[in-house]
Amino acid sequence: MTRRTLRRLGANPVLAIAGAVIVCLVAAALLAPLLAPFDPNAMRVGPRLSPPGGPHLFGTDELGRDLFSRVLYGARLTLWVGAVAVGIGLLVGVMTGLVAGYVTGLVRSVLMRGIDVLYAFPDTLIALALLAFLGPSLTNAMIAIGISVIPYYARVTYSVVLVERAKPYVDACAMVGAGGARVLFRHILPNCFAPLIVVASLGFSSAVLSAAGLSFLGLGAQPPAPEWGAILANGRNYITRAPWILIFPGLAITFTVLAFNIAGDGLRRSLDPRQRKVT
Amino acid sequence: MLTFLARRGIAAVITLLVSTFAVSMLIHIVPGDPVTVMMSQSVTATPEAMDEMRTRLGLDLPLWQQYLNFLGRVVSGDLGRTIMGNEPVLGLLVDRLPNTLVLAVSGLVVACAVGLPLGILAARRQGSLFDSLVMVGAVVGVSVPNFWLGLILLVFFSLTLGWLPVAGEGWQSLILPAVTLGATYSAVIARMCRSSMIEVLSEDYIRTARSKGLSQRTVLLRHALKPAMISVVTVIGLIFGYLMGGQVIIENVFSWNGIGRLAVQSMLQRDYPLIQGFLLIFATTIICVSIILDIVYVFLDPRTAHG
Repeated sequence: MTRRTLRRLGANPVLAIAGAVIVCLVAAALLAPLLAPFDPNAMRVGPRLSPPGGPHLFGTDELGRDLFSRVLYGARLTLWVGAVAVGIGLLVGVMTGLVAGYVTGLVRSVLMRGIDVLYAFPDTLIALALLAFLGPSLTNAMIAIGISVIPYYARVTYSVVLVERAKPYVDACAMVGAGGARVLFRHILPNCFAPLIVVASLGFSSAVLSAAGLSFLGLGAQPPAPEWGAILANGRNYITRAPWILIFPGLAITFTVLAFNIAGDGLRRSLDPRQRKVT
Repeated sequence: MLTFLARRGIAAVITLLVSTFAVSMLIHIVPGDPVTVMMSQSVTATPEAMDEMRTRLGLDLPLWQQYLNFLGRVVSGDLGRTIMGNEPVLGLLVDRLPNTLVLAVSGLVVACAVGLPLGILAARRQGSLFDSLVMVGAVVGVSVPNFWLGLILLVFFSLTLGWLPVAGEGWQSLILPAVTLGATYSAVIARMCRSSMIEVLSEDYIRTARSKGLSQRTVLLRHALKPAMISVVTVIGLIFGYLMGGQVIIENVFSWNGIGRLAVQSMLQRDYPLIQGFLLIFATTIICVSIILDIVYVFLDPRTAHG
């Protein structure tokens, strides 16, 4: 990213707020043991289903667990899920896109047709299909979501590589003796970073949403993990008696997803000149 | 046009073959022995019963033969029987399909009724306060988890105000799930519609239409709308395909008896034949929707057929 791009990003107040929310989220996740007033899984006999206030900022659940501590620790799981899912998508997708864009013949056809078939289906279907057979757990949910988003990264990388490899600098590199791998990783790959950052930021928010949804259905995080979707699933049973169990984790998911969506949109506008003109 | 359709048809058949292969092979990614996992909740899990199950599912055959058998059964309309109730999978799914169809269409109608006008008006008043509000609403709309929104609506309208039923099959119980789905997807449609309209409105022929003295309304609805709809129709089609696969989470939140709810139950109970049936129905729906979309494109933009 150039200095101009960074200046443009800093000049956008909405983007700055989204960035601040992301920083707070990361801080909350890292400092959860210091910030949380209670052990997120510690059950207490006294304060069951007590409303927000007093020592329990967000109230407690049916087992007397402090909801604020659970939401705080939930930030760790959420960021972890997003990072692993995006990491899998990026790693496999970028490698596939780079190879498919650089080589020709059968390898390219097989790789890209495979990606096209995957792309034809919603990522939820792919994640559900994998999770149904791998079995319900948060780790499996991360893997399933990660695999389901590979096509997005592969296609973005592939399209950039196709454009870049036709440029004269690639021929110049080859002429001075650079090997295929060097050209691909040292010269072509850096050109893919800008669009990949945008896809990864938006992908992070959709991974968080998918993981929360899967945990809500009982297919992701299992009790007593303080995952936001899982807390909501549990809170459903106390929908009238303790609505605060529904409100706080839901708001946490919304703000996280919103922050990453705004960040992704802002990055897209700053990094893609065509988008700047249109929107 | 015929060549175009034939080409798309062949691509669809290949996608379908690859999907059936993937669905039939998914059982092999189960950690450990799938039959043991599947029958772990059954009281009749004797070694003989497990061997019988293995033979019934064809897991003792070579992989290529397993696939061919699976394909043969699918083509003849036999998706196997469920593990839990020993009922035909296809029958169960077909029974639930109308409910899912009703919910999908209702959600889509709400999404279009809200998203299209908002997107068009925001594009027309680009840069205005209204435009900003629509765009903020759209970003918030796609960020709120729809299952959470559903629960909040349920608490407010059903449990607190008592205006609408908590669950059931009647049209009143359709309102909340349709509004929940509509809220999320109207945001997607409004965004797409706005950016597509803005792009079309900057074209030369729109300037020509305006310089002829045509009213803003005529320019917008007669000249700009149709070309702008190409990308919007894609999004609407994709949303419909997705909704038809069963809105797994929303059907669960509102206890709606569609295929999505059945799918989650089958996943929690490890009823593999039922999961495979659901995945096949979902994949086939998506493929059919994409073919229909291609045909719609040709009507919206005849150049597509030659491209």
